[in-house]
Amino acid sequence: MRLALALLAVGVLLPAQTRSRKAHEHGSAKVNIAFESAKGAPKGVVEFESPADSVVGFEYEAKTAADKAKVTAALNTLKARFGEMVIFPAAAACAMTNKSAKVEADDHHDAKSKGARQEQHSEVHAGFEVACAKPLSGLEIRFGFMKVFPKIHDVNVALLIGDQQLSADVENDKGVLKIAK
Amino acid sequence: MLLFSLAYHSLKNRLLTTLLTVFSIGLSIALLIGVENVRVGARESFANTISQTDLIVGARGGSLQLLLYSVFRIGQATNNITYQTYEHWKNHPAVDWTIPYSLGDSHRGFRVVGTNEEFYKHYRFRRDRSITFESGRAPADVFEVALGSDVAKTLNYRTGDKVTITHGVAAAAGRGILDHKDKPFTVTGVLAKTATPVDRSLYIPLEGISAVHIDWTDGAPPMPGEEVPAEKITKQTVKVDQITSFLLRSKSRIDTLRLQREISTYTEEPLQAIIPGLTLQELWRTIGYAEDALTVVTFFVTIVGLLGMLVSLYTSLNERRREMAILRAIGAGPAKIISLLVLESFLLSIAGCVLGVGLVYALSVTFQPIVEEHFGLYVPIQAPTITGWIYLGAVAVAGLLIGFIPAWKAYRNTLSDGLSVRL
Repeated sequence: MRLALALLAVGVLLPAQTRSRKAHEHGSAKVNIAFESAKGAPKGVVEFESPADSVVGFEYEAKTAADKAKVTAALNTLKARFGEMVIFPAAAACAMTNKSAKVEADDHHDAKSKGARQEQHSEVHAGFEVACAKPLSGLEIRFGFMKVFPKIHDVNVALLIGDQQLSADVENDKGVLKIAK
Repeated sequence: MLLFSLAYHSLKNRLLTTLLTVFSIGLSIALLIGVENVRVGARESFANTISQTDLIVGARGGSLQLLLYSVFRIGQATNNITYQTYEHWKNHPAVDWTIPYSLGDSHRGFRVVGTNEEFYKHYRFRRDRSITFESGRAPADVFEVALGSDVAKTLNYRTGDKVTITHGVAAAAGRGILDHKDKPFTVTGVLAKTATPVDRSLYIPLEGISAVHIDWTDGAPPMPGEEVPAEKITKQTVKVDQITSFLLRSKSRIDTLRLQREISTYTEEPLQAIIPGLTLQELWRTIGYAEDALTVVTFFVTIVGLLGMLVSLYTSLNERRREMAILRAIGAGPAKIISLLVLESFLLSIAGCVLGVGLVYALSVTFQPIVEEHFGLYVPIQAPTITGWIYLGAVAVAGLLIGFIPAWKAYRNTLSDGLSVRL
């Protein structure tokens, strides 16, 4: 019975999964931070994800030279000023290195509708490596997304550090992540 | 010092009113601090239920639902996941360990959890505490069961007793779909108390869950004569096809993010992976409004307590006209009269705070084991939290400020009374 139910469930849900879309909310962004430990000289990663509109200013595919230049400029700003967006405590002397930054299209082709309407979204994904010279224990991480990209006003930040699992809803750059000692 | 002595004796002179006022403030403070302690205790209890688990993986659905049924045994799973999928992630190079859970059956209102030896080896709560046995050992054979501490205590079971599990989650025996009477489980051990939902479950091998349903067809029990007797079922003959969810520890926290993304986009089966600590914070944000409402109510109760003190001091002023006039006559200036009344008010509020905190501790010591046993809520007995100290400070300051109202009235009275011949 359980097997039958599971097979039925899987059968019903599989097509749903292939059709499922990721949430795409303009003005919001997501940041994931992970460190193996808060002690010693912590090393970690930071992932950034946002609708392209908030960073680049549009979500259609950049085809003209002007649009391509806008994308390049926006990504360069993101890479260069990410330290102002996710502000690690000065006491920990952290340095961030960009590993990747790109705009990824998320095309949603609705074949069932008349005229096969195409809804186009794209997202900016960026990855950074962080190396801190001193422990992060007992310190705070602050944020300044709007100073760099004014359209990003609501950010969901998750932090994994040692066995601490923390999160913060950063609205209009207000919100901190306090790392326990 | 003289002022303090005067205030003390004045309050002592009106002992009954003073005691009633202090008691009223004390009760308000006890409520304020008590609610704060329960709030902190509830959060800590929930947070301490699971430690060192990076991800909880289940069928795609609500993240809170997955956390609640997997960790707190609240609610039901909407779908199961195949054992094949579980094995895929279990053997992933970035995974350190996994604990599979198969849920859906119960015993006299307690949930039955199908799991394996990884649960006893890796499950952690309150940071780094592991599962230990109060008596006996972990189940090894198909029809063996280990009991959570509360289950054993409530149902008075011991090692060697026979336990029949119920198909579905029922509040009492016989109220589920069906009892698996033909396949009883033998109690092999009782887990030591953890003060978490672990205490309120029964633990059987994954194969046990499959074994009790081995002869079922299309969700119905076997027809008479088609039953597969328990004696013919061994661990080797039972195939585990599915589980409900699994806990996962990655080799590194940095891998956790990558694993979460990989699991959530797994194309073979719709899965979701949640980070328990983050989902728990989501839960607190959701119920935060209710907590705020409760705090507002307790604030109003405290304000009522302080207003009671104001009324008491204010109405006593008429009785104290002679006292005030004498004080003025022997040379006490307006500042002294005001200070006396303010000090009395401050002393009353301080005494109320001390009584309130004392009450909270007395009640905590008395009821902590009862609350823990009945609600699984561990309310720690500890010094007031920073918020608690802020509340106490605010009440003391409010008491001091409120004292200025009767003090001003007393000062005005002494002016008129000093000029009056009617004393």
